[in-house]
Amino acid sequence: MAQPQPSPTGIIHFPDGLPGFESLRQFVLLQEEELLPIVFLVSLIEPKICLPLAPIHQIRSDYQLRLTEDDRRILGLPAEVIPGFNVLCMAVLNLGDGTQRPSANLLAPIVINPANCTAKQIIQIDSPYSTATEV
Amino acid sequence: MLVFRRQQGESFMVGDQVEVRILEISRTQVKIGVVAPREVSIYRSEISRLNRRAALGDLRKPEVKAAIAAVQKALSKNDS
Repeated sequence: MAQPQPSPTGIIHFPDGLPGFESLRQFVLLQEEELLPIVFLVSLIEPKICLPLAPIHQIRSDYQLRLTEDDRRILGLPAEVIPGFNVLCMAVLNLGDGTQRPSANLLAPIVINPANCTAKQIIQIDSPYSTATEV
Repeated sequence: MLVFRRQQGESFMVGDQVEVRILEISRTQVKIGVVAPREVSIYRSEISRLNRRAALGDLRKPEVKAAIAAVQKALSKNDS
């Protein structure tokens, strides 16, 4: 694969793991200038695991992120959360195999607190968003 | 696979710390509540499946490159 450069944010820790890759807790966010705004969440110990992400508000500008008290505690976030400011809210992209259109998982955004580099994939309970929104 | 029947309002245990409650049953859906310790992650199985499917093998593949370009184009439209 291409050799994207590590972002200055360093290692991102998923204390609850990432669904589908439960044993992997540490990732880095890699970005390559010409591929922005898509960035790549890459496992530190298994670099072959690489998830493409995009900022959710560039997919839906009116996206409403809902966090529980538990989510805030795990991520160390304050009561007021402003995506793009004190929290990163990213959608996992399914780029497909060329036969279907790329889609984004808006139901389960990856929420990253850049202040402490902690992240969690947070399922939006009772939300109108889909796991496969065409992009 | 263990298979058994439960009615609305009943529950069962998985180990001695995880309780699964059947909250509501409708024609095509069941509403389920899970009581578990904090360190036990619970999520719908489709999220795991989707993450595994989304994971890329090779960024240089032509179909991956094309998909990335398509998403970039779509997102730049949303931006303006």
